[in-house]
Amino acid sequence: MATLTPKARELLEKSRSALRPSPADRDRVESALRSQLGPSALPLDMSTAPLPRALGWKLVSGGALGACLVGGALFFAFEPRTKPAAVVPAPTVSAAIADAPSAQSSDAASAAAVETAAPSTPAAAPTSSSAPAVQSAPRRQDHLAQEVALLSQATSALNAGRAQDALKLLDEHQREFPNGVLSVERRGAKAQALCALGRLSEGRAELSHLAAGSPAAARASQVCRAPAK
Amino acid sequence: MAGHGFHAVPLSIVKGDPSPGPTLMLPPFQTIYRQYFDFVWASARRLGVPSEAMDDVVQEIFVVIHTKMHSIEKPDALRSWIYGVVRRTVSGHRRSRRAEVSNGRSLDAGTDAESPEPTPFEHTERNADLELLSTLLNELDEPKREVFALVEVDELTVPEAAEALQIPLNTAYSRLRAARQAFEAALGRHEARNKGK
Repeated sequence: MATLTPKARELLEKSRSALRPSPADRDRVESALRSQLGPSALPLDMSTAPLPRALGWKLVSGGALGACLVGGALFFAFEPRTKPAAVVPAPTVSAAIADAPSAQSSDAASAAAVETAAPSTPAAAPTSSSAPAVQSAPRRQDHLAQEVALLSQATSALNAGRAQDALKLLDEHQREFPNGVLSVERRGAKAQALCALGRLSEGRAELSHLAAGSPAAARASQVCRAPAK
Repeated sequence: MAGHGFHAVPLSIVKGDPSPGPTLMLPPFQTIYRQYFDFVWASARRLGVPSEAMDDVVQEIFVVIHTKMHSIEKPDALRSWIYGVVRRTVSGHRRSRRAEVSNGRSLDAGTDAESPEPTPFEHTERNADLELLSTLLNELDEPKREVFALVEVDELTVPEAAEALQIPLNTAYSRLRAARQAFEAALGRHEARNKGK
């Protein structure tokens, strides 16, 4: 993969900087949006408050896929071959170029991306000295997508009755995003997984960290109340 | 959905699918808004929305996101999906303003008297960078320009760019490689012209 010279990179960085919104831009749009969508869509204190973990997400049942896992779905359980773009590792450039440009379907392309195991980089080859330079604010945006992806996979595993697999994914989420936006949801799902595995005391301990009455707690409570089998 | 905080919505319910299949859960709108505001703003600006229209266009983009986020099929490709909303909204805006906007103006480098942020000098310098970027990007053909801009300016990953443009991943890599070479060549020509002055 051709890499860019420092001059080109400098121009791109300056341009990105020039394109970014100012705090005043953000305030104006946020205010207008709040007027249009209502304060429930954009709470007044959202720009200064911590991420709305306490609000949580409303957990919705994914269907009757096992008595102990009913309603365990937190996120979309996508098709197994699908992998999140944000966490899909970029193929090594040499491999990508060697194959390109074939008339693959986008599905095939996605599958090809999933098969690779290199760390995710935005575009450049792993050897490119420029790759780290373009990682900044958008990488933070990736975190949300990565969190969603991990919890989606965990939920899929829970729905499929693979609580052990779910637990591994949830542990991975905990390692990667100890203070992630979706920490509350992770705890709820972890409580469910532990209780589904018969590890009731651990599951209930996890449950005790959740706010009573929260959707995550309510869902996990159903599972943890069931007798271990 | 308008007027309500958007939390998790199961796709199977939204689409009327009675099967107990996978359930799509999305982050609340406010989380998406906060995470992606800068991205939406920068993308819209880069796609040529004039500064005086930025507020309206970005607001419209987020209204569309708020309204349609329940229909997203790949929550893991949220950024690509959002970019698609940006592109379509900007395109619609362009069509409605075509008579007013001069042709070939892909980056607005005009003044923004309302923004208190940069000093006049900084503003001039920033606009000069944008103008140069715009000039160089315009020397690339459209397919290359799109991939290059998404990856190098908007900072999408190549898989995200491929998803956003609905092209095979290998094609995206191939175009990016060619676009980088073309961009460097254009920059080289620009510098040679400047040296001659």
